[in-house]
Amino acid sequence: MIRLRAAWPAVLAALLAPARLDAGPRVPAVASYTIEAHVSAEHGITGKETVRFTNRTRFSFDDLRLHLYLNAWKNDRSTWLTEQARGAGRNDRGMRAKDASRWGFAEIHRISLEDGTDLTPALKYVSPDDGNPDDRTLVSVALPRPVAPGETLVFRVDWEGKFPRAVARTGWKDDYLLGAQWFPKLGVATDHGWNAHQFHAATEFFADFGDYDVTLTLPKAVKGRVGATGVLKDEADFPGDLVRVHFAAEDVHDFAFTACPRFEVVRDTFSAPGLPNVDIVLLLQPDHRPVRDRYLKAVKAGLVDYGKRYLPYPYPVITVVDPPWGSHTEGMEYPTLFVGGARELAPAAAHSPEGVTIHEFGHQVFYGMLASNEFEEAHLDEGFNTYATLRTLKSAFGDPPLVVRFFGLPVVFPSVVLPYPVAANERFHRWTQSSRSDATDVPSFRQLDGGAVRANAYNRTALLLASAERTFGAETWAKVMKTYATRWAFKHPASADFIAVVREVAGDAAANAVAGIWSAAGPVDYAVTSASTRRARGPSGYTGEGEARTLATPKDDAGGWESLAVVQRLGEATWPVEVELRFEGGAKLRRPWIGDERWIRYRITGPKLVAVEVDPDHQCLLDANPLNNGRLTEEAPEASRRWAARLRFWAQNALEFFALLGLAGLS
Amino acid sequence: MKRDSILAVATRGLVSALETWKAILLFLVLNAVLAAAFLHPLASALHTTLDKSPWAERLGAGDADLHTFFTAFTRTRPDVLGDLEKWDEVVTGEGGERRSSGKAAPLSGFFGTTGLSGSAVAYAALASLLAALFSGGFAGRFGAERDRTSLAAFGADAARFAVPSLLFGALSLAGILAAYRWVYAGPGTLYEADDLRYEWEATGLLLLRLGAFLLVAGYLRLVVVYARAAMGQGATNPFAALMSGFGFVLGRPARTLAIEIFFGVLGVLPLVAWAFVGPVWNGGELADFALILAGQQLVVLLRILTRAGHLGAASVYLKRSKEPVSPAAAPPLRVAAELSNPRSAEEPAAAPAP
Repeated sequence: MIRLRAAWPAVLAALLAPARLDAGPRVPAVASYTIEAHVSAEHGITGKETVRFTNRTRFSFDDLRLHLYLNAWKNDRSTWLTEQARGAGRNDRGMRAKDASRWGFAEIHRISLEDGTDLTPALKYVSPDDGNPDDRTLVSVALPRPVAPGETLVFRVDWEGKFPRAVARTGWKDDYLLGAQWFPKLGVATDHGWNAHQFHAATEFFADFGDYDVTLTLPKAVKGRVGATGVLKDEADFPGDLVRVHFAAEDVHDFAFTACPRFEVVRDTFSAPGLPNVDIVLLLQPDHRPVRDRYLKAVKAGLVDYGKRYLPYPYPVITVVDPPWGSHTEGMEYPTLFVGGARELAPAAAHSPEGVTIHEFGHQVFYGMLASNEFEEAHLDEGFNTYATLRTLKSAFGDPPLVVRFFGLPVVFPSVVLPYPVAANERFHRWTQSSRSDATDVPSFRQLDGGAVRANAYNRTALLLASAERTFGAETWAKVMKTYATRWAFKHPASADFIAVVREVAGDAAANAVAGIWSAAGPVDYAVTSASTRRARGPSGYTGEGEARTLATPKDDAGGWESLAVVQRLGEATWPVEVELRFEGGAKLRRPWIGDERWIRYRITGPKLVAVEVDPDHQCLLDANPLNNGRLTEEAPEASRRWAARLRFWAQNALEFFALLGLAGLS
Repeated sequence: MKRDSILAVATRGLVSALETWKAILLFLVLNAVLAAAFLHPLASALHTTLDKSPWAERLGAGDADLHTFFTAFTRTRPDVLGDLEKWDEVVTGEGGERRSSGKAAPLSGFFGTTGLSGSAVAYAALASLLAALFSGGFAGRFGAERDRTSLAAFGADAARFAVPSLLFGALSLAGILAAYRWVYAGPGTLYEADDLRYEWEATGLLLLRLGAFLLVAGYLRLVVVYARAAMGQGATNPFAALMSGFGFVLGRPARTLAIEIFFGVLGVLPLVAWAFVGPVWNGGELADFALILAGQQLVVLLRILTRAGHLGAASVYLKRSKEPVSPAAAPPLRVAAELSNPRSAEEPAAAPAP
């Protein structure tokens, strides 16, 4: 009877769950997992998983490739940590210098086929990316016979592992745990064999779709406060002062979970016309109660905007994890679950946690459903999602002001507005100023360092898409994005697939522009390098022949003006732009220029030329130096005088301030 | 108002400072010249960048995207502004934070920055040096009570006290830097902010360290201020003056700090007022420029006056503490004695022994 009563919520939840997958039919499963694991209070894992691999390619696989991501922190010889040590990491969040808690591992004890055939002796660590013999993040297991196309292989893995003190958004802090990349996981089966990389410091993941059925036992203290990918099917006490939770998820390519006895569980429901209903579960830290509604509002803004512009969210539930202070797990996405991030003092103007919430939710589309290869083409997730995030943020919340934290206390400067998407992607321009090491189409994990990956994956692509929207029209671009998302959902698209959609929907010029930006390491930079005007002069010297030959003396005023302007392409990349010529009296003339040549010179006769400006509507946000985009024919020193005067006054006060500080000062 | 009340001392200090108005004006002029020289590379770069650019039109019309302009300017002209990140770290408190990534030691690389960011350090040192020399003149005049308007006397005092003034300045600078290193930044290396359970714990500790640093720095300043005042009142030995200042502040920690805070707030008020209501020159009309420039200089002048006023107040306070307290007139001593013989009922008592 007690058991029946305990089962009622699960039965009710199953009955009340809304219909799923508006985005299309069920995705044929390639890699499905049934996992039973125990997570100890000391953050150790012991688990057994049964993997059902269906070969839906034209390739016969004579081995299995399994990721053991937690071995990135097994010791300092791993590829992840050696890359991190040489500055190749995408971020250094959570890296700890001398702390035993930083280490984690994953180790397969036994791997066998469904019929009991032991494959463990055939297991070996492989390092296809860098040949690092000490890296333990990828294993190959030779099979007794290949898995032919269309065939299904079932195998079982017994393993143990340990979570590190949270690093790169997996692990624990105090009583909080984010279990991510925690189980032995298959690579991606392609027509050319396995696409399986070692774990790199600057890139994320890639996996095949499937179904997950996961049962976890955890310390009882977290009962009722466990979140995970998919839907909670059951939760019950378990002997040994434990709690047993059972989650199931369909059509996903990863499984993550979180637990913390401090979580406050907030439930809400999203419903909007034309979009499927979604249950929202917010696992909130108690000290972040003031931002509870802001989290929920941001998730809903994402569900609406991404749902309409790209793909409706097809799963019945989305779980939002609010991590504790200092956890280094903030800002990460997993299927149907993502980690946000909030501060205790969070002025609304700062758009935090709104920004990270919408961004991580947005990954549900580009990482979750489109599921591109993040090892090789990180921009297809991060860049597309950054573009989409900033678009949603701007429409839902407007441009934010500058917020600076002074000794931990936020101060808002309302007069300094940081316009989306330019301000948020300033990092790209700083990078092109100093590095330009790699083009975006270089495989992400092979790029020089974390700066290159960040600049290419996030910023260059986000600015590219925003520029394309401005250049080729918002309506056309919305159609491009929608077509791409719906056509390629659950199919692991590559850059070429996106360019093909652009070509189909927006034309060759747009496709060439996008491809050109991705294939160039350097930036776009157009400059007006000269602009001059003078009164038109009549001819001087001899004119005519024979009897009619006369010597003409120059006349300064032959009526009208003669003007010259030179526009140059200083950058490596090109983008279709317009050049605007402005004349006295307000007349304007615009000429398109694709920028294939290094320079173009305009000779104009007629009214007096006042200014020349390339890309006057600021459609190309990739331009490295917008300050050289225009030139006046006559000086206008008022602005520089004005700013110099203001700054001089502040400099006076700054110098005087040193007296206040007492640096040998007046008093 | 009691003659030793904070308000009375502060008022007397400000009055003393006003009496040295010529020296204050001279200091203002030197401050303006230094600022102009400091800003010259930036002003030139602004002219080069803007004078023939459509951005000038947009900035003039007030519809320019300021963020884009200034980020593009700082990015494309790194030679002009240099590395502002170091200043940013110091101003926002990031510089003192130990992070799990192993951040560099506080202030490391700070003095090696280039461009305006680097020259700011040199100009600050120059301004401080100048201020230290002037402080000798102010201290001498405040101590002298006469000829306060005389620039010649001021200069003579500045020269007379030049060495101890510079010594005090160096001590003040070294003390404040040491306080930053050991009181603010040092304790920050003892814990990982990320290891604390709640953010408020990290913020609280950060503010506690900041408060401790400001308190120590404030008292260091106060010791130097009162040492300067003592020097102006005739303590020829700098060490004796320093000890005098130290002892004075130690004996009156609350009142001296209250005076410091009073002048600190007073000094910021004109700047805050200008920031909110001060007009901005449009870069065109020279008459407007003259008017606005005068207003700006008035603000700086008031700030310098406040700073000098603090030294004046210290001088007044120190002097008053040295003045002997005059005893109140004692009533005549009478002793009433009652005897059985009423003839001698009242007789003058003998004077008490000293």
